[in-house]
Amino acid sequence: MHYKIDEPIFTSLISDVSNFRPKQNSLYITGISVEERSEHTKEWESKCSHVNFARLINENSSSAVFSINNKDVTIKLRSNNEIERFLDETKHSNIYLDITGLPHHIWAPFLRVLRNKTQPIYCVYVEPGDYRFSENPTETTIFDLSEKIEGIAPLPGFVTLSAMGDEESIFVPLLGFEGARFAYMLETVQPDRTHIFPIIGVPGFRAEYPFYAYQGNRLQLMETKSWQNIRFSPANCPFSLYYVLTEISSHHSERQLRIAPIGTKPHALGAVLYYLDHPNVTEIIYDHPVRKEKRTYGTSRICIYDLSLLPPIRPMRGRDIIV
Amino acid sequence: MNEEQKERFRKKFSDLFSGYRAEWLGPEIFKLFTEPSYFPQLTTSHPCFIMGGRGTGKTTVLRSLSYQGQSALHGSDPNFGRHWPFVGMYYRINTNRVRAFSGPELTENTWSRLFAHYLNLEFTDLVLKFLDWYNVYNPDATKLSDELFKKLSVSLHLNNGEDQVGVIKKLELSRLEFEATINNIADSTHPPLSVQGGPIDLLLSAVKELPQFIDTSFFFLIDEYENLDDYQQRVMNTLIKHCGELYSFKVSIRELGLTQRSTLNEHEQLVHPADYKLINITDELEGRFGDFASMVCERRLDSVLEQDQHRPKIEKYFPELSADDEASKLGVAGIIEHQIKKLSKDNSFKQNDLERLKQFSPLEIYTLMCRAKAENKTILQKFSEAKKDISKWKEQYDNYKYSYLFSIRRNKRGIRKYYTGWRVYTQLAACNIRYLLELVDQAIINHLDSGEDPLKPVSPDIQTKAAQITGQKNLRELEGLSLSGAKLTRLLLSIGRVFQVMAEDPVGHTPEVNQFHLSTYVYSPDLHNKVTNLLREGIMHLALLRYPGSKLQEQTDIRQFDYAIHPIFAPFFGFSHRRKRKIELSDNDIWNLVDNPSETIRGILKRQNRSFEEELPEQMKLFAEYYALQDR
Repeated sequence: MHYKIDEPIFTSLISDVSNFRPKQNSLYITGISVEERSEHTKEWESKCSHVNFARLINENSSSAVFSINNKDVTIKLRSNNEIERFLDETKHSNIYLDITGLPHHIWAPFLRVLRNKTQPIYCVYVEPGDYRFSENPTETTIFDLSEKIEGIAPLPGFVTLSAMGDEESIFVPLLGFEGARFAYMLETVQPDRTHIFPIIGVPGFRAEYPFYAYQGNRLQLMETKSWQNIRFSPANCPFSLYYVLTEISSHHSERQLRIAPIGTKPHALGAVLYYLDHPNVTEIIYDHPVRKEKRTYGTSRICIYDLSLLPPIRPMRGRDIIV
Repeated sequence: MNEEQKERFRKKFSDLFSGYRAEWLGPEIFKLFTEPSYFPQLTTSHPCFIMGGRGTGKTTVLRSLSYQGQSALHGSDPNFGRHWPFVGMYYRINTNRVRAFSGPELTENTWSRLFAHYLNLEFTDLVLKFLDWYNVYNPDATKLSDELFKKLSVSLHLNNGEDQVGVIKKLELSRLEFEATINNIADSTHPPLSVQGGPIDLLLSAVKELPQFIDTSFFFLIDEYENLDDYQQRVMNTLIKHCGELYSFKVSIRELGLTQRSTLNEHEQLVHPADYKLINITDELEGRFGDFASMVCERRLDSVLEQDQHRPKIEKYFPELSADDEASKLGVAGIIEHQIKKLSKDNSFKQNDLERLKQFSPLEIYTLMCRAKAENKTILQKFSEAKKDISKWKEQYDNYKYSYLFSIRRNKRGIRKYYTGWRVYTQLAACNIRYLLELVDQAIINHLDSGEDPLKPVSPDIQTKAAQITGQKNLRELEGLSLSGAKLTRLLLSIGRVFQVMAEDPVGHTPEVNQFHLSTYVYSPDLHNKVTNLLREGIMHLALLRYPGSKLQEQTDIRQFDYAIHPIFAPFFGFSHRRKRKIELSDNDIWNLVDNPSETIRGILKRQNRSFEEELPEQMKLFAEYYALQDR
């Protein structure tokens, strides 16, 4: 028997960003992106004397430069050892990974190392006030979110070379508003259309957002007929997403999950957590968009996810490989 | 058919015809497979590259060559399975995986060695999977010796693989270790690597000594070669160049997808036809596409209607309109009636001339009126000329009548030009079977949705609207097809509008302009590179077609080609789908059509003596905001 009590949510929601302060003696990893909402830590920094801030100041596809204690530290993203050394250089009671202003290819490798840490690990995410509408909306681009995409490539440290073929997988796109990205995924991944399980963020950050997600992805949902398989998961909750993935996987135990995190960041966080707990039977497929400037306006709630409380949940599967 | 039968027909039809992607058909792919004329060329032991755009059937062909495909196609034959002339093993290049083998952490040379080792693991796995499959159906067949597997495991550094089962297990573990290495490539030294092609040679030379495979050719069927990076193509090219007699490669690739012709030895080239045979699907199907498309559709229709003897052939579902009938449906009678009334009041026009003029078809009279205007003559002058030399007039009429059809309903609501008939549909598809299936699917579903009998022909209106919808659907999809998808969509929207306005205003201009070529002047090398890449993407993703220009000398020079918007988009915009005449555009024009569309469209139309202010056709109004956009 499956109970909701088995699917706890370890999220604290604070309505005003300015009311949040990290715990003392913490490491707070953050970055400022082209979005206004990623700037919230600036005002805290001066008021949190016992928090060590590591701020992303430069990055490319394979490395990141963080400024910490007035020093610049370069980290290779495909090196667990370098990330580990960076995290362990000073002993901290807690580690915060603020994903709001960090691109996926930066925070995901950090999470990979953090997932094995014993101290409390928190992820932080600030919801946007609103998204910017496109000046020239079409069905697949209602909002003006991405400048372009760099193309499909694995997130650093997340390549899967398992032997499972295309026909033995389930494709799970975590949908946002940009149908063109979903279309590009479909074109590149070429999934079996009877095994596409899109996930839409419901409830969304705002009540109307799920409708935009449907509108933006309508053509692809219709063409693949995958609208019949849509699952819902709260847009700001990585834990719920994790449970939905667990449920999908348990119903298709012979198949590998191919997850495309092209929707909200909390959903991407849930997908990465799921991958880390089921690495041999999961693949993350990402298209690396270049974010547009001013793609969002303002800030809304701040979500703090306590990852240390989420134990790895293993669905009953037929093809798990134990190394 | 009663309502229930109609609904069943609709569902089955939609399932089969909307499954126009190989990956969507599942096991049905083999049941519905129609062998294209070039198929026998692929069964020889020489390496082949099958080149074609998206939707030309490359994947279907490769999967049908695979042992699973051959078994599904010929499994019911009692002789099948005793002797295999060839064994094909299908392998799709997975972008997400091959992209992992690059980055600044290693030199390209080291990446090449890692990638070659990865291919060894993959191809060995393919062969072992085939042997596993074969042994299930032929349990008494001679097996490979354990000695061979020990050697294979040494060759792949697998650490004590004793027999086939042991090697398969170790192979999977080795792959996981390799995965961990790549994921932490900046951390460590890499594991011991195998020699490129070494384990495959070892394994297949032993397999070919088995009595059941002595005369069998082994093919690696590589799909989507264009997904490989440049250095990865060189690694694969090396395997293809030196594959020898043990095995061969059948490779599918998009036009312009082969970016590298050299092997890992930079002085060694992969040369056609010495090293491989190039099969260009469009060239192979040219002139035969209609028959091939008909066979593909007939097979699916048979499946839908369960071999109903009374059903019409696919061609009969799509009757064509003659130019005269089309003109009549477009309302040409209304236009000429008004003119004839005017002429009857004109004293210079004799009554018997008027009677003779009325013997012309309405389209002929309309064409005469248009030609008179174009040549700056009165209708009487033009008519007298036609009377004097009727054969010359008939030739002129034949040359112009089609282009003047576009002007009959200029700036009017509703359908402005019909696209009907099986022949026209195959021309719109331009040798692309997926486009043809989309057209047929859309037309028949619309036909059924309007309550029509599934066994009756589809009306011209429904055929035309289906063609417009199919064009529009593919235009919208273009955005998600490639990294330059958004730019390609904008380029098409802009050039399409230019050709549409030119088509609707043909009088006094060159008829049926629907191609362009690039001017020879290069404003800036940087801009030229950007344009080259965009056009290249356009060709790879079938937004554009290219044809060798009259002065073609070098395949790589984009200036020596003529470019056309793929005809599948013609009904959406409303210009001629037939390949005809061209205009000259510069690099600047092309780039500005993307970046600053409305001003650039206006400028190009002005150069062609046309007006920008023409009303958008109904089907294009969805993009009205795009055309209204000013400088971005």
